[in-house]
Amino acid sequence: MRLAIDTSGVDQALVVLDGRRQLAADDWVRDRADPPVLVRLDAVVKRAGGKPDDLEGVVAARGPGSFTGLRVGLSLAAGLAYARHIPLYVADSLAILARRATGDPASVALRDAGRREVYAWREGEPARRLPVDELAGWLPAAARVIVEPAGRLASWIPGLAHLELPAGERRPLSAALLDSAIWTFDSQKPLRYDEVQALYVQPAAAEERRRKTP
Amino acid sequence: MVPEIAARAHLQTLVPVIERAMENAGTRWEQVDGVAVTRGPGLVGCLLVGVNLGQAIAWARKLPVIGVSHLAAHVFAGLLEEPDLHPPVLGLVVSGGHSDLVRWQQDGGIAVIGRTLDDAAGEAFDKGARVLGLPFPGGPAIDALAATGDPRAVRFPRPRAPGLDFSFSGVKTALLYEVRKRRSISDQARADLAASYQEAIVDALLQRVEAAQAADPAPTIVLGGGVARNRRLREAAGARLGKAARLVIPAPELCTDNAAMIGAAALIEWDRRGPDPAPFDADPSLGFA
Ligand SMILES: [Zn+2]
Repeated sequence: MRLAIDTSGVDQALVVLDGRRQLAADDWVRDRADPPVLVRLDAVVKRAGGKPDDLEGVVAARGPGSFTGLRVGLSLAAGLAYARHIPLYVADSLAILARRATGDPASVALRDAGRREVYAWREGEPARRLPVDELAGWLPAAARVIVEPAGRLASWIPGLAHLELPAGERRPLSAALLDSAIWTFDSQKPLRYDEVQALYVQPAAAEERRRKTP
Repeated sequence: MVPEIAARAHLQTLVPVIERAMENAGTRWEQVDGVAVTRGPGLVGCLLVGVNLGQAIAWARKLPVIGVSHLAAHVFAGLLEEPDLHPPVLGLVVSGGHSDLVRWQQDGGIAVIGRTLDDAAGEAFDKGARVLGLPFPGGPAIDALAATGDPRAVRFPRPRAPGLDFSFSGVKTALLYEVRKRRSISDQARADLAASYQEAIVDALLQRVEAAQAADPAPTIVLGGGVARNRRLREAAGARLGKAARLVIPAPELCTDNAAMIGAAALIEWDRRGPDPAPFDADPSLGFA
């Protein structure tokens, strides 16, 4: 039995899987009044008919995303892995988000980064952080775009709002997390504990300055 | 401290630190009966890592867990020095972030009876050190330099906060004037200023402890927090407070932030209220409770 955690965004999810099969899942929308994630984790493992000793691996979303959410998810995952001597993995949050598209993963995933910036990802490239104003120039012409929160593209670049996948073509986060977890467990290397880290994507301006400094 | 960097470091170092501590203690997880973790106060990013990682370990090993206050732990650190520590206790917690006079009461609760109105004692040392051209952190630098100075060379004003509260902005300003009115400062004069400045802070702290003790005597007084490492404070506390009560000042390394004091807090709180019944969140603004 393995566990996947994504608390990096507004939509959050937990999945318990056995091999490639989902045993139980929980999807929720982040809220300050929420109980601690560990309460949900305990419940979802019980619903899967398991107990802590049954865990054989854990994967957590590493961002980019919410400062708080990332620390919660990565710390829980690291604690579980260490306590049960099981392998620990991380997965990129925007690649998970892209898999929320029904059918093939979306080719572009965008997440609101606040302060009129977006975390932007496209297939085959690392995530970056862009000012909203630069988004139109960065978007590939015929992209299938998935956005968190949903519907936000219309307020960022109204002319390209039609690129965003409609609500009917989005799956629950847990479905995307299940796929990502299977892929991660199959193809990625587990982390050492001193490698556990949230993915921190520099603001575009800072990145530019860094590149110009010899 | 940069919160983002501190939180990143926490994620990377916490498990290796726990592994090392377990190894040093020669302890296996099968021998552990419970997990204690700091619930607050502090930087939210760091607290999140500790609170979630600690509770995940406890959950995964089916262990009870207790969340404790970092501030209360500075008082409970006295237990590491004095195994028979029990309330009522008058406590002084002095650090870079806090100057609190507290009563650990018979019912186990901790009440704050005096706090700083401006800088914490540790900040007063840091700012004074900067005025004297000494390196950061200022506490140890002033402590070291003061050893060769005359604490009566300059009579700095004693903080005039009402009641049992502290205020260190006046003495800091007075030091600034003392330095400015001199054209140059010899090494000896600098040492004298450091010793006199330190004396003013130490005197202000102990004067409040004495006043609290006079109003409602406690059989035990505990000093804690990073500033309680200050040699003059430890020495003067012994001379001024040691007669009226049992004075407990943990070893210097147990006064600065450390995990042993969280363990001490867990022992005390566990006896009083048992483990936490349900998972809890970090609380960056938690007080002594
Ligand atoms: Zn402290």
